[in-house]
Amino acid sequence: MRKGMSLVLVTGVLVAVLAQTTPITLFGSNPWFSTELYPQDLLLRSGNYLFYSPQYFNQPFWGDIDEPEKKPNTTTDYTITGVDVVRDGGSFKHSGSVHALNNNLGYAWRPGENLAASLAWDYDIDARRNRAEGVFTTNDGTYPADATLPFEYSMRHTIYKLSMKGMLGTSIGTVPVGILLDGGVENTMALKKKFAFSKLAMNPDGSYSETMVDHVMEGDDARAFWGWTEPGCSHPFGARGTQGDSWLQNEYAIGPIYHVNLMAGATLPRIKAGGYFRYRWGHQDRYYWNAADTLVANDSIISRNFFGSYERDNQTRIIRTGEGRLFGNLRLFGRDRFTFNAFGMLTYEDSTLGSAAAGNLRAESSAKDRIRSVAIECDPNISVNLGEGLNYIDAALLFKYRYARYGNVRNQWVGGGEITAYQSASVGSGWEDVWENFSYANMNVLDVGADISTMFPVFSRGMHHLSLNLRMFGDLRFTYQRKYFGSSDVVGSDVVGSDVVGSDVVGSDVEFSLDNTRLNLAREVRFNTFLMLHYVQGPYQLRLQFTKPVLYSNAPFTSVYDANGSVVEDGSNYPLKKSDLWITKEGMSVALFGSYDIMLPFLRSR
Amino acid sequence: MYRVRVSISHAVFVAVLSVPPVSARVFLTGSNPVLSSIAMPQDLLLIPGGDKISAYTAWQGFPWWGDIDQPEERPYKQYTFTGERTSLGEHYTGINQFEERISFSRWHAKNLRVAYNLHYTADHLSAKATGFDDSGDPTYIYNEHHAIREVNFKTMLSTFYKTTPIGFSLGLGGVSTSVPNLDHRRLVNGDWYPSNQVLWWRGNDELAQDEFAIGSLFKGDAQVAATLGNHKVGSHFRLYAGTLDDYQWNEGMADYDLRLKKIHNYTVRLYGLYNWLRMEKFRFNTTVLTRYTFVDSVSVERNNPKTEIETEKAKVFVLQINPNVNIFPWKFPMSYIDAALLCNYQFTRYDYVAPNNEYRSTTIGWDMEEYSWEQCSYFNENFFELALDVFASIPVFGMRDRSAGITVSTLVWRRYKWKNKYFGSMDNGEFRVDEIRKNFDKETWLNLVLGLMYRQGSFMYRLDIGQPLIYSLTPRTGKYQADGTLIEGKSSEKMWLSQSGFKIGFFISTDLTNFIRYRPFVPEQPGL
Repeated sequence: MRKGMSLVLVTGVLVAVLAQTTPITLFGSNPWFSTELYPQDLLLRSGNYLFYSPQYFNQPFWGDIDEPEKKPNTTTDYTITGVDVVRDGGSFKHSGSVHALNNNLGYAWRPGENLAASLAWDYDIDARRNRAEGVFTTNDGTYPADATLPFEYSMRHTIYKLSMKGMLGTSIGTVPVGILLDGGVENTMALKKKFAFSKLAMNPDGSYSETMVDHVMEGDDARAFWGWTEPGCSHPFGARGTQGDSWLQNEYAIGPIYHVNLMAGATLPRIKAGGYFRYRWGHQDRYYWNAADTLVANDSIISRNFFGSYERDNQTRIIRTGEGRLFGNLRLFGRDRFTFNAFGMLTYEDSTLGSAAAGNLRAESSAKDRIRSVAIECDPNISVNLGEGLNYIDAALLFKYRYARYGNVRNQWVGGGEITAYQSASVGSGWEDVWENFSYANMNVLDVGADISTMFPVFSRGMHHLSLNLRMFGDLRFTYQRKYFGSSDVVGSDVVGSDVVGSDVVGSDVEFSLDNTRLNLAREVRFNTFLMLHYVQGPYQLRLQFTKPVLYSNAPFTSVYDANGSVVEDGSNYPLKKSDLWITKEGMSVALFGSYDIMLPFLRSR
Repeated sequence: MYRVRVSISHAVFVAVLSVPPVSARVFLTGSNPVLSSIAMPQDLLLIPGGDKISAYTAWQGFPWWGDIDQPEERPYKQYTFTGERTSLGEHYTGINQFEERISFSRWHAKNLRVAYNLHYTADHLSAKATGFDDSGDPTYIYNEHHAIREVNFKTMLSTFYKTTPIGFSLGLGGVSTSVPNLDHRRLVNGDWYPSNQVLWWRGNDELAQDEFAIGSLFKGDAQVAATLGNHKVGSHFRLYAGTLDDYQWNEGMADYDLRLKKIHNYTVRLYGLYNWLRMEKFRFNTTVLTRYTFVDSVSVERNNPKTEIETEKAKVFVLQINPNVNIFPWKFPMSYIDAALLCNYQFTRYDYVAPNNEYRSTTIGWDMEEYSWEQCSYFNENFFELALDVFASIPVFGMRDRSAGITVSTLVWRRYKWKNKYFGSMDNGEFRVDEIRKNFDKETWLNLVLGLMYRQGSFMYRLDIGQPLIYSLTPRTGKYQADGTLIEGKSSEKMWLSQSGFKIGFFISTDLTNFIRYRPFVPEQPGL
């Protein structure tokens, strides 16, 4: 697999660019949820309490070490999970999964009517496991039919995320205001690999001997696999088999990524407004597979694929992402029991991914992948207060438009100087692979959705109170993306100069020649349901939340054109399309929240 | 083009599989008499108010269908492809399912209420495809559409026998698969030729439907039930019967041969609700249901219906025990939470026999996957289901002349299914097993239907939104020799996907007194 720079860029950037519409719970009636957007809503909670919230969910598949969510292409029919096969005298078993455990521990302090504070510690672990084992056999003459290829592979990649979040809510005059500060880091906790296999040694003439050789590799010397699948060809072993196949992982990057978030909000008579700034940065070391020069068992294929090590590149990946948001929920009109509002949010984001010398981060490469995006969201919504306490219905229609400009640039030498120009790239055939590089792209995304969150008391007797919270969310997204492929060439003959190494360069400017464009259209639907039971008994509070697997369907379209806008005739018979298929990309999650009213001793005197 | 053998068992199982596997859903024995009267007709007496008329319309979309007479049939269990356009061609299939229901209930006497229910469903299936050559020019053009329709008219009567509420129902109807409306042309040596062959698709492969059965089956059913104190009992008998046209592809004639398939499908159910504890705000109950179904499908010659060719038989036994609770947390009428733990066991025995009642010879498929058309001589299937079923009607606000509420129906359902298929041939009067396919499937379904209700005066409106049914499958299949030696096998880890699209439904009901010249019978004390 060959991954281009643009794929790596996508890691740090698209997380935000493709972010969902704002959940209604963040601007709705429940202060247990809305403090994530309006920290002043801390004032709407009462008491001093210690809280702890664990959450667990799993996904059945992961692929790339640094981008587990990436599938080979954008179509949705890639749903491979683990298998266990016995066939043709051989066997093959593989499984991959992500187990995510989030832990949130904190304390909320309420020293007075107009002052509330909260400090929380968040520690998340993503444990990714990939295992494969089996005995491959072949039947096409590429390997002796009576011989086998036993192997065993395991990889563990664990990522931790650690953050601290402080919130403060108070009043200035009669205006509740709040501030939130959040900072943290995520990094690889452990990356462990082990790979063992046995194969007949080869003779110098390329035929197989009768000597079975065992090979065992661990740590950096063990080859990582990007994925396993069935049925197979056993290409990595140099022998076509019938049980399974795999893709090799040529490169990956690991290292810390930091973030800091600052948010402030105020509740004015007609509008509940806020602002948010987020900066995410880091540098990650790149590791490339470097095959050893030695020839093992006279077998050039296994020597190339499995004997060597992942070595740190002399360049490191640099990630910088800045994001600013302004938002508010404007009260349009209301009565005693309900209010009609309009929630609006304006988002700007600028992300850059580049590289620098591993030993000196100030020595940055001019090659950069950059995304700038602007998004505007407008969500008319209604809040219905049904009674005392948390008894409400919040409902919203969601509309969000985003524009993103992708530019993959580098400095190019002209006579005596440098000019920033688009990177040269060529289009592939058929459906685009995730690693297909491009020069620049424009993307327009429109979201239309609906979100409803309700909470009802189920029973209330004495000290015991049980409530039910139900949330349903649906979103229809249309994506229109055009990618541009071409080359940047030096033009003009009026200037003759030299580049950095002294070679002659003729020309004064760089002109981008467009070769192809690729049009990607997608119609995606997401649907999700949350169910929560909220139980209160005196000082204790317990919430149990189930999140159903996200239902997802995609109807993608792609077509490739030449510079004149005519469809390219490369045998693909563009356009290529797929109909909707409902699948789920995430498993079920279960979350628990528990709190206990307690005043910490050292805060009592305050 | 691939040739496939479509099992002749398809048509016969249409009627069997139309029975929801978890048949005793909580709402059938729950707190809402409008729903519970489906299983217990005497609950008509509990529906508040006078004479009513109601209508319901719903639509649901499905992105893919396979077999003409059994649309839900997939080539194999984990098949996920839908329509697509590739360099080799394009194909799209879809189902638009419409459901219409109109009901009318009337008090004929103080203690006699009768309801009439007309229920119509129509599945409109369409397929469209084009093949491409290397330059993108068409090599074949295919357009097909047909419909599967079902209509039922049911009369329910509820009254008292002394002090015991009793109910009866009688239903008549039928299910019909229409003849495919087909436009299929193929380019051969530069000229276009028509073809009668019906296709389906598996990814880029176009497959021939070698066998399908179409026509009408008639349905009759009768039900009787009673409420004994706090407990309820009921029984139900249903019959599907009819003769279908069975189309068999003849390769030599390049057309379908026609034979007939005589089908009888008998179902008997006995069920009851035992109330353990009744308090002001709670009721604890157990629902027990047993079902026996016998299906008999005999293929006969078209010109001589007395000449039998082969027979398929299936016997199904079901036992379901569902502890359940009814909770009334709110003071508003018709507000409640019904929750049940559904425990269901089902055994199926299937036989594929010749007219002399000997098993037909079959061989196991060459592929490790179990394709849907893989025909066996007989199979035994056991499955056990465990489900959590919740149905709640939650009031949002209520005033004298108007009110609003929400209904939530959610089902989390896990099934463990074991199925052993036997392949072999007759040897000196004894059936000799050559191969066995053993399957074990672990399946999970998650479903949620949200209803938004609004009442103004005597009019009640409800909008139902059903989310796509979430489905997860962890299958295991193995091919064994008769002595139990594993030939080859495969198990896959769970994969979440969905088998159906959104559903939108709208319900309206009102008192018949809103209609001009309607003269209701007004009992002195309606109902109980």
